[in-house]
Amino acid sequence: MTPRPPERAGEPLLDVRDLRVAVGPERHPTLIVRGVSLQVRSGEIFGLLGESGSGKSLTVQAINGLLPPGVRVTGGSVKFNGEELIGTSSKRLSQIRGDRIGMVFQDSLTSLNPMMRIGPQVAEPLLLHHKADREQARSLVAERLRAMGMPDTREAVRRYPHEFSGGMRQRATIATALIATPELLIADEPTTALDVTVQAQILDICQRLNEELGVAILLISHDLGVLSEICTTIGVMYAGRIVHTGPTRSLFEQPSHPYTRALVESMPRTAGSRNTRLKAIGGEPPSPQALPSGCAFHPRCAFAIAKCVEEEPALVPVGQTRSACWVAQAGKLPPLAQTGAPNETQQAREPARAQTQEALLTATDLRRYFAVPSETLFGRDRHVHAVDGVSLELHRGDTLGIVGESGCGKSTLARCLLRLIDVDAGSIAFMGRDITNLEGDELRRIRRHMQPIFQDPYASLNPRLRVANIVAEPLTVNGFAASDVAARVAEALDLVGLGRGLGDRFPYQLSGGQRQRVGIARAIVLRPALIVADEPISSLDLSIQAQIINLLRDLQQRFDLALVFISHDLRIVRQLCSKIAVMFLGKIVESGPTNEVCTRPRHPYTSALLASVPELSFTRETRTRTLLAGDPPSPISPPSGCRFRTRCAFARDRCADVEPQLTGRDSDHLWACHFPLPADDTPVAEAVG
Amino acid sequence: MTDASTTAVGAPLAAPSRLRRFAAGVGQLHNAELLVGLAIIATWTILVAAAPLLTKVDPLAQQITLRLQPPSPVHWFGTDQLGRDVFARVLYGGRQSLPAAVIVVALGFLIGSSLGAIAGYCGGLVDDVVMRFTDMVLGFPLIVLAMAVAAALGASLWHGIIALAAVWWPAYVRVCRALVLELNNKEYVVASRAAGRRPAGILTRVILPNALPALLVMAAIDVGRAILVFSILGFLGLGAQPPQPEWGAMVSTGAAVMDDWWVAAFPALPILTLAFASNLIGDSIRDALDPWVGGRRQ
Repeated sequence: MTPRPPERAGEPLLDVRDLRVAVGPERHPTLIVRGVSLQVRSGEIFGLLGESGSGKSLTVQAINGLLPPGVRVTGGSVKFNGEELIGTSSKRLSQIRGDRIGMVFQDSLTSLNPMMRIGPQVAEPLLLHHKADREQARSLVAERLRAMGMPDTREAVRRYPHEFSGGMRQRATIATALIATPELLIADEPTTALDVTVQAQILDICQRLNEELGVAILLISHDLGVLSEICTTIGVMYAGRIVHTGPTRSLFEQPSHPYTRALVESMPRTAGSRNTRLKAIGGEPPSPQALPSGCAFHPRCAFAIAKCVEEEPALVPVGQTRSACWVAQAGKLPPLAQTGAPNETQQAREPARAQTQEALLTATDLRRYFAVPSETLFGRDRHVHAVDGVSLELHRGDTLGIVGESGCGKSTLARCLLRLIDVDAGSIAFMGRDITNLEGDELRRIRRHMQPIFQDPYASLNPRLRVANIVAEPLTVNGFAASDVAARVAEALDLVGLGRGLGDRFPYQLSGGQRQRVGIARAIVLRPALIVADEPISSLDLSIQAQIINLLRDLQQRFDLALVFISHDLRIVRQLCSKIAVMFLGKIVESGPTNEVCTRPRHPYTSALLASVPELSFTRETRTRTLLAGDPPSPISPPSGCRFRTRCAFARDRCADVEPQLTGRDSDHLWACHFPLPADDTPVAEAVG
Repeated sequence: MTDASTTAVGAPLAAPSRLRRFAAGVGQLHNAELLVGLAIIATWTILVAAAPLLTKVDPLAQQITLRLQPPSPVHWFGTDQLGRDVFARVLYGGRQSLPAAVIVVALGFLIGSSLGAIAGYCGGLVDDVVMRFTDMVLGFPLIVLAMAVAAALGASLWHGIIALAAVWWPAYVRVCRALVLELNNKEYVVASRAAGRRPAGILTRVILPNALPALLVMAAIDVGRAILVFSILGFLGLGAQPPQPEWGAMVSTGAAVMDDWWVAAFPALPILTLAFASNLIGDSIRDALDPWVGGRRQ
C-alpha cells in the first residue's frame, strides 16, 4: 500500500476553478464548459444537475483527463488533494485514476469488458496499482461485491458481464470503482439506464458507501429527485456554467435561481394532484454555438429584466446558496408558490360519467407469448409470457396509466391493444365491435380511430419525409382530399404548438421535443377516439417533459380522448391519469383510480414502486424505503404461484403454491395478492403524505 | 399538400448527420480517396464518350504493314497484331465495356432488390423459397456459372450481359432482404401501419425509399467489379466478338504476344484503374456511413 498524503486541513478534496472546455477549430472554438468552479469536500456527496448539453459530462471528463478526442481544456485548474490535474502527465493521471478517483458510467454494458470475467475485472484496479496480491484481491472482491448486494459472490466472480442484468452489472462497476478504496467516486448518471426499484437500491448503496467508507461522491444526474435524495450539496448547470449551487435543502426548498425554480415547479410529484397543470419552462436549452447574450437563461426566464439581456451575472451568495441571477441578487425573486390541493370536484365527476357510457375499449384476458429458442440443441422452444392474461376497460375521455418496470410487457400490451401485433388469446372490443381477428380493409378502417405515440422521437419519424408529409400520411392513406389534408395538417401543427414554418423541415433538423410534437400531431390528425402512448416522454429532457405532459393533457381534454399512457414513471402517470394499472411480468397486479391506488396501495409491489420513486424529499435520514431486493425474475420461467413472491417481503408458503387473481377489491380498486397491505396507515402513505 | 412520397427528393440517408459530415469532407477536399476514385471514373468516362473527337483513326482499320508497332507520336499506344491503333481501340472498347457493366449491375439490382424486398416483407414460405433459390445460385462460383450460361447461349456481347446479370443478383437479394427486415421494425413503419397504409404501400412507399440509399451505394461500387468480371468473360472469348474492340478481349489477344507489352498493357489499364477507383469510392462511402470508422476520423 502506498502511503496517502496527509489530508490537508480545511481544503476541499476536489477543487475545480474556472474550468473551461472547448471543441472545434483552434481559431473559432465553441466553449461547452464556460468557467465551472466547484468544491467537493471529504465525505460529501456533491450532485451536479443539468440537462443534456449543459456540459456536465464534459466537466467531469475534464476533471478525470478523459475528454474525447477533439475536446480540450482551454483554461482553469482542477486540484485533487492540492495536486493540479490539468496539464499533468498521463502517467500520473493513470496512477490517480482507479486508485484514488473511481469512475462509474451510465452504461454498465459498455463500461465492462465483455471478454473478462467479473472477478478479475473488479480486481483489476487493485492489481494495476500493486495494492494487493491475488489472494488479498480475491477476498476483497468478494467482500465488495457482497457489500453491493450481489447474491452468491463465489458464483458471480466467475461470470461474464452479459450474464448479468443491468442492475447487477452496475453493481459490479461500482465495486470496480471502489475496490482500491478511492477518496472520490465520480458517478456519471449511474442509475439512468436502470429500473426505478433497482435505481433505489443503487442510490442506497451509494449513500451507505459514503457513510461507511467515507468516500466523497460527485454524482451527475438530470433527475432532481435522485440528487435531492442523497446529495449534501448541489450544483445546477445551465449552458456550460454552474448557475446555482448550495446545500440541497435550501437550494430546492426556496430556489434563488429561476432555472432551479422552474425545474422544481415542472417536476411531477407523487404527492401532486393530477389536475394541476405542470408549470413548464418554455423554449429549449440553447446550443453552445448560439448562446443568448447576457444570462443564457433569459429567453426562457419568467423574471428576466433588461439587465439579464445585457450582462452575464456572476455566481454570488444569495441567502444560503450562491446564485448567478440578477433578479435574485437584487432580492426580487418572489417566493415559491405552494402547489394547490387536489381538485376533488373533478375527481368525483369522472367515475359517474364513466358509468353512463358503454366502454370504448374492452380487452379480455389478453395473452401474447414470444418463442425463445431453446438453450440446448434438441430442447423445446421456451416462451416469454410478455402479456399473460390482461383485462382492462376504457371509456371515452378516460386516462389510463400503465406502470411497470422494463420487461413487464407494457409495450407489448400497447401494440396488442392497437392490433399492431396479433394476440395469442383473449379478445379486444373497440367501439362496440370485436376487433380481435379483424384483417385487411376492415382493420384499416378501424385503425383511424386508434393511434399510437412512440417513445423514441428519432426512430418514429420517417427520415425521408418532411414534417408536413409525416403529419399528412394518416390523412392521405385514408383518402382525404388534398385541399382538406393541407388544412388539417396546419391545424394539427398549430394544436401541438409547432409553427407552420416547421412543416418544410426534415426530422433531423428538429430538436427532441419538437420531434415528439410531430409524433403527437400525426396521432391526433385523424381525430381518433383512442391514443396509446408508449413512454412518450422518457427520452426527453426534464424541462421538455413537462411541456409534453401538458400538451397531452390539453389535447386529451379538448377532444375527449381515451388515453392509454404507458410509463415506468409513477410521478408522471399520477400527474396525467385518472386510472392506473400496475403490471408485473405480464400481469396486472393492481388497478383502480389513481389517487386511491397511490395513496392506499394494497399490493406490495405497488407500494415498493411508490417508495422507490425519487422525490424532492430532503429527508435523507428519516426516509423509510421499502426497498425491493434483487431484479425482476425472468419472464421465461416465472416463479410458481405469485410471480412477485421472490422479491416480496411479505411472501408466505401460500404465495408459492397458489397464484393470486385480481379479485381483491374495494369498489373500483382491484388487487392480486393473498396478503394485501392494510388499507390504512401504510408506511407509504406516510412517506408520500 | 400532395402525396407523401412526392416531396421526398433529396432527402438524407438513414444517418443524415454522418452524411452531411461526409459531404462537408468532400467539400473541403479532406476525403482524398473519394476524390481520386471519382476523378479516375470521370476521366475514363469522358475519354470513352469523346472517343471520336480524340482520335480520327478507325478502331477496326487494319494496316498489316504496321503491325506490332511500339508506342509512338502517331500511335500513342502502339498497334496490335493486325496493325490496328491500340489507343483508338481502348477508347472505343470502353463503349462496349462500360455500358455493359452498368447494364449488368442495373439488371442485378432490379432483380435482386425486388426478390429481396418480397422475401423480407412477406416472410414465411415465400421467404424460404426465394432465399433457398438464392443460396443455390450463390453456391456456384460466379464466373464459372456466368461462363456456363454464356456458353450455352452462344458467344456475343448481349449474351455475355445476360449471362452475367443472371448470376449478379443474389447479393442484392440478401442485402435488400436484411434492410427490409430491419426497417420493418422501425417505429415510423409501425406508425404507417397504424395510420392504415396498405401492406404494398408500406413496402413501396415507406420501406423501400429508406432502403434505397444503401442499395444504390452498393450498386455504385459494384460497377467496377462488373467491368472486371465482364472483361474476364471477354478474355475467355465469351463477351463481345471480334472485330469489335472490348477491353477483356483485347487483353486476351495481347497476352499472346507478351514481348510486345503494349498490346495487352494498355487495354488492361482502364480495367485496373476503374476497379481500383470503385474500391476507393466504396471504402470512403463505407467510412462515412460506418459510425465506428467515421467517429474515429473526427
